[in-house]
Amino acid sequence: MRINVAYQSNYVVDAVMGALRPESRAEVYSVAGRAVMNHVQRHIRSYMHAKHHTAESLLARPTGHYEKGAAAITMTADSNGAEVRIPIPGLKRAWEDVQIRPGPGKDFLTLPKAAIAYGRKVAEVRALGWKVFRPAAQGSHMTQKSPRRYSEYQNIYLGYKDDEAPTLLYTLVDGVVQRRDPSLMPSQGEIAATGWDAIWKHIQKAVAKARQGDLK
Amino acid sequence: MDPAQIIRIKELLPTSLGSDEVKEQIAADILRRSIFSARMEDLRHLAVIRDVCAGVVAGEINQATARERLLASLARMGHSPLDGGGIANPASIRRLDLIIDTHRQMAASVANMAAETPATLEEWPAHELVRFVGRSMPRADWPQRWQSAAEAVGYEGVARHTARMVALKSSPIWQALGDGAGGFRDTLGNPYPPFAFNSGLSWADVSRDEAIELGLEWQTSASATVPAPSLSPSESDIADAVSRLGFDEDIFSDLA
Repeated sequence: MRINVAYQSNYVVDAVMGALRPESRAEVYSVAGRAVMNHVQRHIRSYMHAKHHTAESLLARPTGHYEKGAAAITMTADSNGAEVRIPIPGLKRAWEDVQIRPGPGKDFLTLPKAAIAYGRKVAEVRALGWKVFRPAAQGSHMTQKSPRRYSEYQNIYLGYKDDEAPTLLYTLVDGVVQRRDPSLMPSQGEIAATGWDAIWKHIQKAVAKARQGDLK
Repeated sequence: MDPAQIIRIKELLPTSLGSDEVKEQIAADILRRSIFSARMEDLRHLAVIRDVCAGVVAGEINQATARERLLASLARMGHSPLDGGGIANPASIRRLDLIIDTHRQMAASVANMAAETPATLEEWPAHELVRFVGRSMPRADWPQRWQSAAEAVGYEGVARHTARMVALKSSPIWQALGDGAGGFRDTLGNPYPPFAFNSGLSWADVSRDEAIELGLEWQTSASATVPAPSLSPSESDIADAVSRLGFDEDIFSDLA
């Protein structure tokens, strides 16, 4: 997810920014970008260890999705603005519903239903020695043993390892809508205000320093 | 430069050496600019590592997709997670995660260091080393590592009267920590996170006010890369622009 750090338009700031050399403007934007980066990072750090509900419900080890991403947030700035990069796929749903569809060449999304499947693609589970199969595709001993209707097993992946009984690994869906979760990120207004505040204070500070006659 | 670019411009370094030998025999500066993996001589696989790590750090793919692609590449070479051998097995899931995590964090650290300006260094002159990623068995020796590194550099730029691991960004403690001061051999030789293999600790910026509260002292430009005047070139440019534009300085006075 990328955030372009913008600030509310203001005649004074616009005029000052427009009058600066490009390298000075870039430096002002670097302060705004860094302020936003730190703000976003603090926000994600505030909840990241509490976002393990799915892992906990499956008794799986958390993937560290938010934690690793929060530690790797970066910022760049130039004379046109600043950009904060948050390497956390799916974070866009902080601001809007996100519809996820299967990727190119795929028919389904896999939703993990077992610890071994959590945070893993089917190929990885197979590489770990699991036999993974779709009952609908292969006809399965699971359906033969179970009194439940065959259709209930069509959109699932079962798996077993060694001589263990097959177990449900994934359900298959043709898409999911991840509902907006505003708790994941500061609001866009808050982010804009953070960038604006940093720029304004930086300009104020420079003016104050100059007034105090520091430039000697 | 963004972190994905930092990874994409790295050279591929095939090697038959193990991780300890790599650290001993190849200069840290070369390692920093390379994609390598212990006892991995296959250039095609190293290129896959570079590609997936760049994708992860750009937020384009998640870790599961990255591992899937690495496993496919390793399967082509006949490697499997089932081969055993723990982390020495190039296809072990733990090793794949380690590679991805290390490159992601290194690239992010380098990108953020490169993005520092005199102004950002003045606003946030220090780093705090904090845990981001939880571990089932976290290293308990970080306070000792910190203490050893601080002693090795004579506490230069290090906050002394706190249990927090805070130091100026310009402090030599970061290199000492990366070098394993105190005899820690699992470090990566870099003055930025991750400081040790599979470490879940990284940097958080510390503001100027907080750094002062923690007793850190520095000259205005001591932690910055520009020398001399107390107004940096960009601050001077701002003051000139305000003057040129004829703004009443009182507009800006609520901070003064």
